[in-house]
Amino acid sequence: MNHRHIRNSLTRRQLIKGIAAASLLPLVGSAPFAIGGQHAGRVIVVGGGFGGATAAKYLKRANPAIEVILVEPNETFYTCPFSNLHLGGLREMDAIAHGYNELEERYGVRVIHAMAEDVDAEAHKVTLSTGRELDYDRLVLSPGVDMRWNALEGYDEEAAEKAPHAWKAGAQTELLRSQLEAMDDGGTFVMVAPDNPFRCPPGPYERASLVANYLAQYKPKSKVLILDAKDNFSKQGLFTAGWEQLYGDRIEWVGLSNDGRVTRVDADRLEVETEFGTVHRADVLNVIPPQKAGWIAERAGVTDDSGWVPVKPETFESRQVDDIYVVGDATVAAPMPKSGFCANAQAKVVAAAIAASLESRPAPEAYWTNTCYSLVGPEYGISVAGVYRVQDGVIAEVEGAGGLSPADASEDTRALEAEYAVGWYNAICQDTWGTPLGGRVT
Amino acid sequence: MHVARPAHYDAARRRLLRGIAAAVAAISLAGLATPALAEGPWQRLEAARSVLGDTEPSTQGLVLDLPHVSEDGASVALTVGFDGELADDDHISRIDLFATANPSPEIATFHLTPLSGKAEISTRVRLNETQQVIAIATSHQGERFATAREVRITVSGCLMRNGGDQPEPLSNPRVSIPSSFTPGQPEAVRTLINHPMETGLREDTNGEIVPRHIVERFTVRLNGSTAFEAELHQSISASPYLLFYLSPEEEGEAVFEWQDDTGASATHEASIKAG
Amino acid sequence: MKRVFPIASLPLVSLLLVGLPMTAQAEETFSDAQLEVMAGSCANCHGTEGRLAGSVPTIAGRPADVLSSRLLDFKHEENGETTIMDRIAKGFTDAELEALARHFAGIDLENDNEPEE
Repeated sequence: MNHRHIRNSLTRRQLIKGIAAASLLPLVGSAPFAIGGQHAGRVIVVGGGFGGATAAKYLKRANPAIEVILVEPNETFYTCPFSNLHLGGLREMDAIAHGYNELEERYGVRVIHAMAEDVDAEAHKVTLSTGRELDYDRLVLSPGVDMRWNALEGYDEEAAEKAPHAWKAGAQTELLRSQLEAMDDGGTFVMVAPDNPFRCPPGPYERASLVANYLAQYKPKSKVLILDAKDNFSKQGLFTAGWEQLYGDRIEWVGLSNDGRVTRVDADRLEVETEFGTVHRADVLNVIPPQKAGWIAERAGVTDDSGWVPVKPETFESRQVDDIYVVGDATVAAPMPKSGFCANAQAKVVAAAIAASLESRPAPEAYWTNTCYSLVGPEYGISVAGVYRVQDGVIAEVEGAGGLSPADASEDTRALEAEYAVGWYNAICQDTWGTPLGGRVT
Repeated sequence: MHVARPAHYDAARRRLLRGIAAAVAAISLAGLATPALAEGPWQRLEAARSVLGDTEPSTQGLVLDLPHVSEDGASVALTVGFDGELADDDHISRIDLFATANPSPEIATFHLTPLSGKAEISTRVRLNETQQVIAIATSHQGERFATAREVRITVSGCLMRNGGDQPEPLSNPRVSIPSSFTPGQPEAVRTLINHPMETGLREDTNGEIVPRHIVERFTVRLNGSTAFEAELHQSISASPYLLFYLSPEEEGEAVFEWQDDTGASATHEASIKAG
Repeated sequence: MKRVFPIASLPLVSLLLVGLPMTAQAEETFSDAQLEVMAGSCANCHGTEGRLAGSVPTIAGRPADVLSSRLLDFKHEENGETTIMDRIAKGFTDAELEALARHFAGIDLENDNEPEE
């Protein structure tokens, strides 16, 4: 490990804790982590979403003496979870906005608002978009997903400005919302849904639900058409029943075996063509294309030929590169789904594993739970849960645990689950970033 | 009409080519004088051995593309293709697919002719659990090639079954075929038909076994001559999807026929130009 | 000569006898680091350290026996009240649920300003 002179705004309390953790002498000089010659280590975390922000915070919780640097280009992070509520006119963008103040001020994470552009795994260095190079002892990548441009003929970055994916929240969410607001009554909202694996399996169907809810109220002659590259989707039975109950025949779903797979997009004409030549015209077109791990993962050498990142199940360390840990949507962690909940859960396992590794002790056993809440309507919530452990060297669902909301639940239960969905969102955001930007926890 | 290849199969094709390149590189590095390598999971599977007979297959040239991990064992995309060395007047005439750990290992047998033009087929298969999938190719002159891929099947709770409507058997036949062909240039043809592909292993809500009911045979005739044929078994996913190649020499009629095990059939016709 | 147990070991023996539970599963102890990971996902609905109040109840600082009996009920009883906790509790052993209950009971609600170890 190299000596590092770090300028960092730590609170006195954290400094004292750091010293206490090293259980040694009073602070000497301007290198707070060079206490008595001991280095707790430096961990760089790339990506400030559910995975990265959680990893940064929990690393500090595990050992405040570890230097944690979080690299995230955005100063405000908009969550994909609950962004469908913005699309449906139920929440403003500030209700899904989160900042990094608490990570910096309360936990002593050093946040750098830049992009990580390159990783030299052998030299243990990350290069930032500012040109700066940072050494690391351990690296955590939580880069989310990137769209596979041109996997659908005609759907590239430029096309996404006309036919948004809104599969990364923020400007794309607002763009799609404004298109929906401008749509004439009687129009069709067409959504192109991808094949597995992709970020957030129930996401497209929650989006269709909340768009339908909006249309029912404000543009009642309008329809939703989902063209799917799959024959089955997450919570399908629950969604289908809910759609019928709440929206009648407003939502039409066309699966793979009924020629639902789209192969070509014309973003200028808002037209899509399926595998067997059927052309659909949209008034608002939402294309959710095939995806892959965020591109920095490929730069770091941790992706395989599938474009995703294989990891060791016990610690989420890369199978291909030592000292790089990867969490969240970018990983191959099946049967764990690609969800914010899982990214947060995986990040905690990684934080514990890295803290242990830096102290040369074995990592604790891994535990993960996932709960995906979806709103079929504002007062109609459904969920799927899973509890995961490592069994026989692979991640497996614990038998007898997890499962779906009941098919025959009462209206009250659906309403309660919708309430818990909000409670979940508030809690996970508090756990990941601290209180939301506006300070509101509603 | 030129139909864009689904992105999924484009990626599959790139992987196929990379796989071929890697295989060739591996063999050259190993410095093997002859490409024959006998050992493989096909030796341990009786159904595969009966296709091989006494021959030891070469492992060079046949590539099987499957995902490393699939969350839904009911529908796993598969591409098998041959891009190896054959004598000038030889061609791949048969490809067999096996799922080593399925209740019944035979997935499908494809019969190719010179009118196929290119030995590459994509379909969707059912895999019961994590296992090796085996492909064996046989050439017109009796050369044999084999390869295998392991697929991990995880049952994702997120993909719980709809349990909804089963498709109407032999309904909605669909074919995507270029309207004109250049001789010597094989083009991809995609086909799809709705069918439950009932395995005969499933219980209905009363606990009764739902009888087997599958598409058994798919035939493509160009001006009356069989160009491509597939024997399908219950490990082909519901609503069978088949992508294969055709290289017609003259214009005329292409007739596509699906036959199921009740004797019922469905057909689709297309006019094609070649030249 | 007949062996006689040294007197000093008697209390130990009696402790052992008293300590043995009726069920086959002994009270398991998990390290702090292990508990942190085990309890990790709870924060996703209950907030960091289970402190958050809202539609999902706070669990930090509640009595261990209350938390423990709730968790075991979620797992073993046909509890009509819960929407999700039964599905989650079934993923843990009884010993793990009891350890989690003690873990959250031990969170000091008065002291919430520092990143806890």
